[in-house]
Amino acid sequence: MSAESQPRIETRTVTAVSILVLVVGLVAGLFIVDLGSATPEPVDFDETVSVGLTLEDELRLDNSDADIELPKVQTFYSQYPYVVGYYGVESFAAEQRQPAHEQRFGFPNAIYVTDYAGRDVELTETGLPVTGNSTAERTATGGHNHGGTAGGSGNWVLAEEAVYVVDSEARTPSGETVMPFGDREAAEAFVESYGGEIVGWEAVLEVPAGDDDAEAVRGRIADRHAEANATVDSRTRLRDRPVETVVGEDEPTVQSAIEAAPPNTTVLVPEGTYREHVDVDKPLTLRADGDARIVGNDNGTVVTITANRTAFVGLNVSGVGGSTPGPTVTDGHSTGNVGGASHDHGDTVGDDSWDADVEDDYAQGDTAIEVTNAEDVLVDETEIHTDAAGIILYASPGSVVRGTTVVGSENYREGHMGIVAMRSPGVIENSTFVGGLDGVYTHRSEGIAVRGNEMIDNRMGIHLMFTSGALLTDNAMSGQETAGIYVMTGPQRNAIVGNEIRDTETAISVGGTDSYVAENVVTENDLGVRIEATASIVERNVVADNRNGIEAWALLPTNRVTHNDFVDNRRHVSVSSGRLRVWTHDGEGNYWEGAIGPTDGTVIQRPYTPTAPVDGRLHQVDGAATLARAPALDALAGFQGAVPGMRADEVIDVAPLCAPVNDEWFEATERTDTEPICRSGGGSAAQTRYDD
Amino acid sequence: MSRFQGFGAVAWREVRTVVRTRSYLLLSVGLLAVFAGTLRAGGGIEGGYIPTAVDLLLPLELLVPLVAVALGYRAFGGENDDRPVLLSYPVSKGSLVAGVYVGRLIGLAGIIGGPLLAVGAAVSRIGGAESRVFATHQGADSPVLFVRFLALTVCFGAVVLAMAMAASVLVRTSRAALAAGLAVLVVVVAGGDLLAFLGLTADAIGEDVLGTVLGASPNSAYRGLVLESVVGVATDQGGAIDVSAAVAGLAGWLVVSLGAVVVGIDREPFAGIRTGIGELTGRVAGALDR
Repeated sequence: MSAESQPRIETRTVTAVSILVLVVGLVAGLFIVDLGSATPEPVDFDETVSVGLTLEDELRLDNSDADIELPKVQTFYSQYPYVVGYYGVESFAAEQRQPAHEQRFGFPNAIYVTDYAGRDVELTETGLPVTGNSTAERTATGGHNHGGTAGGSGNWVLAEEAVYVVDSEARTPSGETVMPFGDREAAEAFVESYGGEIVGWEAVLEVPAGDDDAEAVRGRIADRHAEANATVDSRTRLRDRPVETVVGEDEPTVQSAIEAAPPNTTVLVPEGTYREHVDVDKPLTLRADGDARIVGNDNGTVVTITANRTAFVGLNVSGVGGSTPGPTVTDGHSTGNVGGASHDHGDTVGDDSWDADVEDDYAQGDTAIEVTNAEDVLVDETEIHTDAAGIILYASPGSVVRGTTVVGSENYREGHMGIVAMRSPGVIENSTFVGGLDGVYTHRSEGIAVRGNEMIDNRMGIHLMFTSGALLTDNAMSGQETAGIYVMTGPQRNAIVGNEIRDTETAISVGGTDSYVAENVVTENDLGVRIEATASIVERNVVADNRNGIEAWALLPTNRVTHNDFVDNRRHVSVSSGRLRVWTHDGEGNYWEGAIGPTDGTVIQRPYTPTAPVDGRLHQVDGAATLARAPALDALAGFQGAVPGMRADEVIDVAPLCAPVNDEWFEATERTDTEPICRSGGGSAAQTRYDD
Repeated sequence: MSRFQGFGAVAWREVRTVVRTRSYLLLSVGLLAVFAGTLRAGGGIEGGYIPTAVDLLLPLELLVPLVAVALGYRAFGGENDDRPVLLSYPVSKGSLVAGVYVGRLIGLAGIIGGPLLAVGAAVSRIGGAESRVFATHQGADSPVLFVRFLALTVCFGAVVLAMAMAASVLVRTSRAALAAGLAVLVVVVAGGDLLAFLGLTADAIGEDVLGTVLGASPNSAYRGLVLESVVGVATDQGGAIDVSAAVAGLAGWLVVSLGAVVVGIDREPFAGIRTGIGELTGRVAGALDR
């Protein structure tokens, strides 16, 4: 080592040591710095991914004259890149109690609630909160304003800093609601006017939810069947009214018989063809005795029912006029996504005008049977041939249609619905709908039951608009151009159970929240199930031989999708938007044809990612299994679900089932491509699963 | 010559060796390719810094020890034995060992840290959600977390490097050095975890102390610290590992290994044992060759 180089070394040494010290200091600093200190600013509520209100409620509130402002929450989660908006503090409280909530979204970094303090809050007659009329006024008085002012984007307060009034008269369309205030005085003033008591944030989180959660939907199915059975029993008794009038004997025409007959009796219609239009305006039973046909003059509606408790039994109806609502209805829904967040009726003004629009479109035109403002009507064993609508129920709750056949137009663009149920919850069962637009179209018919029907070659089999709480079970459908079952406009608590749907464009498309899709068999469709719904359960369905098995649309990953069988779909799952979803609950996921790995006799101990390039090809491509077992890919799969809210567009099942759930269906269809792989646990898989 | 001067000279010599060796550059490029492939398969890069760290955690558990052993296994051993040259420097044993170690550590930090920094830059450009309809935010994600991950990774590498160097002073031939290096690799990558697993299943390790005991296995300590201080920030669920035990475990391996190097460097104190182990590993390596 030469003497000349020594100073250089000295400099280098000093530099090196300084760098070392600096590096060590920085590294230590890295672990000390607090990352959670910055609180994000609230955003305009319109920009949140929102939950807790049906589209119907949203539209009604939008269109109402009063300046209604529901209490809202917006939450910034540690893992979820979108701001999540909740209508109602109680709906957030309920959501955050869900078991998988934190796993999916992470913990809340910041929570803001609507601040009613200093905003002249009053309640409408129905308890909906109304704030000061003009935006300008609101801005001027909004003492706790955190940001913008327009359309309720301001007036937020941090959840922990607010006080809350519970058990007051305040309501949202879903029920009782909690009112947040930025300061205690305002809350006290509110309590003085509208009752209730003041609590803190921690207590609010414990308030029971007004709505049922998805878990409860499952338990309600039996109750709702029982209710429907009671309705059917009661209506069926209308068949047994005493015969007082016989057409052809007592009176020459059906219409004159109706006019002559005393109320609450039966008008018997013997075999024959009756060329007339019929108007029933008192509670009567019209019953066929043999092959009785009422044939219209191909102009207008044939049978009009306007009396409560009318029964129409065993008659054939044809000769219906050809007037249909036309292309607004035919094309209105087949392309656009009505249930999506962008759906907007902004061009309508005033209360219920959006409703009037739909009614104008859908309840118009000719029909074989029209039931208007008549409660508890029965249409039984009727056969209808029509190029327009079959039956239009308008504001006629409690109506039962059963054992009826509607044969509609072969080309759905020239036809109309088999049944339109508008504001008419009731029961439609054991009927057949061939051709035409939609087999059953419902509009604001909360709680309607559609059971055991057959629908063939329509535009849609069952089409729900603004209808919550429907029970759609055991229907068989095929050949629908748009969808077997299509639930639009974000309703709540619908149950779609035990339907068999094949050869459609989309078998089931379900929107809304708190819904239940179970035990359906969807085969040979372009798309098996489209899930737009949130906070819903999709379980024990068979999804086989479709081009796409399930398409996940919902932006919020809040659904429970387990115990479904995916077999022989070209793609088992596709994702249109949103973050990573984990389709496993309580240690059990779904059965995926193609999933590989060691098993314990129940589940496969290797995560399966149907949306991933290799896993998604396992059931179709030779060699994919070898690639999937590569340590590099295997190692990756292990941690995939660690921070799901931060991952884009995937579905992962961390505990795939090794044997199909609906093995009866597989046995019945004699499929051989579902050879269970549970054996490594000893014994046949199906046995270990089902014997105990 | 002062203590620091000697240290600096030795360290500088090591850094230059690393820089001049083209294959190390190639190794770094190869790592970048592996990272890119992993992230493409895992999709973490679109998600942000934390998903990226999650995706890279497992490959790094394998690759970091590999790089560390590659850099460390012939630090003092092998046929082209540098030890006489190094020992001819007018510096203390401690400065010598520290110099060699720090020099190679800087090399290791460059080889692993370079590609990781490139990944971090890529995340900053394309990571995180964007939406025209909805408001988005970063959540718990932050570049700081990725730098934390990088720092933990380099620390993990530093420990394994020291272990590999300790193995290299115990053996004489390059073949034996390779075998010893591989032994370190196996112990670090799988041995500690398997021991912990066996201990747990045999009830030798109580459930209440698992988080602490894991700190003794370098890669468990590394994994636990990443899960705790990087991933855990987003999940708010601690308990991945006993942090102080993990830090103590890593520090313990580092100090013991470097101590062993200092003690063993001039072949005097444990000559007999060393020769024995050297011959044994040499024979094993020879047997493996055949």
